[in-house]
Amino acid sequence: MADSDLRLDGNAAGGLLNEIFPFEMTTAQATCAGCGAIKPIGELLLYPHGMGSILRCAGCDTVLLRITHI
Amino acid sequence: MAQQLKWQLGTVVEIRQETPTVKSLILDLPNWTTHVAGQHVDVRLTADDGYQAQRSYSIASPPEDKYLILTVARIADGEVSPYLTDVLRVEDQVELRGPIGGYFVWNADDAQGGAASPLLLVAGGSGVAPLMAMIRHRANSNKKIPAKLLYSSRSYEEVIYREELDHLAANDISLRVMHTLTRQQPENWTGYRRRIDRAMLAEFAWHPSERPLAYTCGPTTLVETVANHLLELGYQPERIKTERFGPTGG
Repeated sequence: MADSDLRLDGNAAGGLLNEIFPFEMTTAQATCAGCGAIKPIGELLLYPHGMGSILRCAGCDTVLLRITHI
Repeated sequence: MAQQLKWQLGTVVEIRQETPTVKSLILDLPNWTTHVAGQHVDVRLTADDGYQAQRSYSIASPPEDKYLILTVARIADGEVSPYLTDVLRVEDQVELRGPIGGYFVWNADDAQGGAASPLLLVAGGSGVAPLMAMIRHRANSNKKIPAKLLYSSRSYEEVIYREELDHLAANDISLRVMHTLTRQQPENWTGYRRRIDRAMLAEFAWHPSERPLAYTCGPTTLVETVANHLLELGYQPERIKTERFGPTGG
């Protein structure tokens, strides 16, 4: 299975983000520290793993958010 | 959604066999707050030993319906979908939270980009579920917003909501439904018979000058192919909404 198959939209992290933030976060704008692109979180790429979830910029792959349950 | 979502219990009131491997669960949720077409829920299963598995499922019912519909494709080695499709019975309960998401949503009463923006919906397999919520919501709204659905399935038997889509399209000239069957086609099949490609989109999709709003949902490769081709055809990036579900729909 290719890595690209494991990629979801930031949209799929909506429930998880809601555990942390009391707002609808998938429409919140995020600015990428790598390339400066400003996009809604729903448009980031989500890589869900057993260890946690990582949200990356769709344009340059820079990590914007890491979420893990401890 | 200005507060934290709580897990709630839904009771299965009906189970519909949509295709050999796909079922729709019709759920009664006493504490449900209304959703917008395109949103999803997180479903959580808890084993006797406390182990929990969680997956996201799109809501297939329109906001106007009394019950919530989740359409679940059985993934053979999945952790959650085999339970939902094989074990769950009417009157059983399911734990879920939602509605979730404000990005991949469509509201017929919303003026986003002009209420009359034609809709282009492109689905692969069970990715049709959130788009079906939009189609059902659109039908309920009576606004006749022009809409086209391009829907890719492997075979005729695997087309989810086939009869309902036929019925809706036959009774509404402003809704066009086009199927492509990628692996197996019935005799005399007149629809497409290949994976969605640029030529197909160029032929079927709205011209960018009509300022369409596009939603595509399905396996990651299909969604990325569709989004890239629509961009090349001149669609505006902010008017192409994507929802990948990968292979792990689980």
